[in-house]
Amino acid sequence: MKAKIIAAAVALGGLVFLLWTATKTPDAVLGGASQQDQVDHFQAIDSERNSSQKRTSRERQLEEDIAFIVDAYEVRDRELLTQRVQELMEKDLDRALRAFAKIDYTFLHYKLQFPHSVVAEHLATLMEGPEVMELLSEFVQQSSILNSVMGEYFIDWLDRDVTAQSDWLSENSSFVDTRVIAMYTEAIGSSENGVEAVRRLGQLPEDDVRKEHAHQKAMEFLSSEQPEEFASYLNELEEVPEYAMPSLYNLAEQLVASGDPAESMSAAKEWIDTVKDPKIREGFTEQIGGNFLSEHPDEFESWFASLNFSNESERQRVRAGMENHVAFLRRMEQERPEIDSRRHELTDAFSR
Amino acid sequence: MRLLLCCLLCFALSSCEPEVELSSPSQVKAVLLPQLRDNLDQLESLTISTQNASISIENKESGWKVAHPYDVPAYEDFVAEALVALSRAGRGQRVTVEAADYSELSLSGVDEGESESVRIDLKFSNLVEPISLILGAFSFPRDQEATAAYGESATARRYVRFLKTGEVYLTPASLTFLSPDSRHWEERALPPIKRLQRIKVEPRAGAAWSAYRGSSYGPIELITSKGAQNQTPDLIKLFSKFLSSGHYEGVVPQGMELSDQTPALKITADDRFGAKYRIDIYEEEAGVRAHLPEDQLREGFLTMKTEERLPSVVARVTLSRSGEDQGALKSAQAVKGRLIYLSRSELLEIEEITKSIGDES
Repeated sequence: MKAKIIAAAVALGGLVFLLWTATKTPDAVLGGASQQDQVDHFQAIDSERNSSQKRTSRERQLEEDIAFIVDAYEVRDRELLTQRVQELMEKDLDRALRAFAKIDYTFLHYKLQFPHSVVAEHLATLMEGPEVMELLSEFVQQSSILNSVMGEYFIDWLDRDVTAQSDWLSENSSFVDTRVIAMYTEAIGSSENGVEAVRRLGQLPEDDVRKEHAHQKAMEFLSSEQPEEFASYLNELEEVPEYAMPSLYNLAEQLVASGDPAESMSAAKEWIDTVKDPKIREGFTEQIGGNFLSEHPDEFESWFASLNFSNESERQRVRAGMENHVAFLRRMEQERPEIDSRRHELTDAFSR
Repeated sequence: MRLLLCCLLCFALSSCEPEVELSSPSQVKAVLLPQLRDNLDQLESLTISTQNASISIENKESGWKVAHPYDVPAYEDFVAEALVALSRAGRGQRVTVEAADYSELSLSGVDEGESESVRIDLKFSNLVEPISLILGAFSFPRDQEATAAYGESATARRYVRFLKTGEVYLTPASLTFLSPDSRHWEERALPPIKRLQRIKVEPRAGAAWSAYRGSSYGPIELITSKGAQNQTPDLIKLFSKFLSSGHYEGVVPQGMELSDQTPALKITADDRFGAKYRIDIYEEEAGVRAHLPEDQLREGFLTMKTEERLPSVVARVTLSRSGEDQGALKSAQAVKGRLIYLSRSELLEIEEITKSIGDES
């Protein structure tokens, strides 16, 4: 019985060996297991060498692309730089983006800004917003140039299609790139689509971590750049959020700087009265009233007389607060004239 | 009597300072190490030693390496900058210092007493004898404005003694970059996680969890034993920053034993662009960093000192697939299977999420 088992095992072994040799090259079989190991080893080396050659050629290509751009920086020629950026993108977009990602801060050395908007515009002609954001997402954490490109693209998208952009923003709730969001909220201030963008930010769900900050900043910029549109937006709201207070103050200040002083003050005061916190409300009233007293002392008295106070001491306290604010403005005028002239510049710009 | 007292006082004060005699200004423009300047490409190794730390940087065929017990590629840009700066360092003024006064200027050597000395050894392939010198105490110029702006490491001068000749110079460079802190010299890059897509965390004690997002900026789903939950601010922060810098703190020297071989935390992470990581976290970095002479220097307004580093954690990182960054990949290959120090700040959100899941359950 034992002999039969051994014979069967030998026969099976022989069969397996025959089948195995049929799948191998003659050299490998002749050399046995150690030669097979050698073959594997050399194959591994060859494969490593090939992949390293591929890497090297890819790296060389990247170096050439970088040199192509840096040469334009070298001659400090803005047009040539723009032309080469465009040329590289048209040749191979992926390669171009990889090259741009490697030349961060070159502009500091050559004092020549990278043409971010050219890249943003090129991307806009090739694909839709969500695809662009996905494409740039590979680079924006490591490359300040492509981070700025994303910012420029996002601003351009705001002007082109605010609905699609707001939908994307709402669906992509883990998009929290601080720099791009800061550029976006600032651009909202002067965009034709600013009100709609602010509206959509305000409609983000309460648990969206970006909502409060982005909505607040966007309202601040909108209240400074487009106060009337911002006022209409506020009228739509059932409840003005607490974080909108700085924007309300901006709005009141802008209203005072425009149109008939007494009428504007009444409009501004109406907005200030919507502030719930009595301390903040009183502080805003004192500052706006103080500005009014400083600029238009004659109209101020009749306006102040028209205000309603719950008692005499409140009236006196608010009046004293406004006078203190005037004293503060006078002091600033003497000590820091540049701040005061900047304030006048802003007011003049708005009036124009 | 008063005159006698004054003379005695002057003598007493002068005897507190080492006897230092400066050379003529004509010698000031020469370089400290002309042999290094003339044989920079023949340099084989640079060794920097203090009383409690030592590091060697060696020039191999494949490039500069940080020698045993670190055994990792050196940060070539830093090595090049350091060697060029050292080869150009001015000799400064020749100073006559009595051997008995060496310890006053920290020039006695790294083996003696509570020495603040730093020893430098330079070996060349074409020179028979190595060059050895001792970097001693700093000397501070009276230019308060420059010090306030750039800090003492940029403005300080340093006493240097050549071991072979015994010559001492007050060189117009602080040479603080010649530090035995290995983290200055190592290439410490890993392929960064560009957009984290999936992460799985398995703590040794506590509940495991994972999180996933379908697109680069899509909503993140947290999956625990209780089922799926919506994203939290910690989760968003984690997905925005985890290993995105692609830097680790340094390699653990060969031969250091772990007190516990079982990881305290097992993390697997994939990004959307091909990088796949397995990270085993073991324990917090033991002890504190060795005291180095440059630590005593104040930074200036323009070169503010960074905050004290948190103790790192000891980790083992395995990269099964990488992205495109070949430089970082080379460094990652060098630390394959090795223990490295990873900044604890990378793990703060993971710890928070693990804790909150533990609290809930």
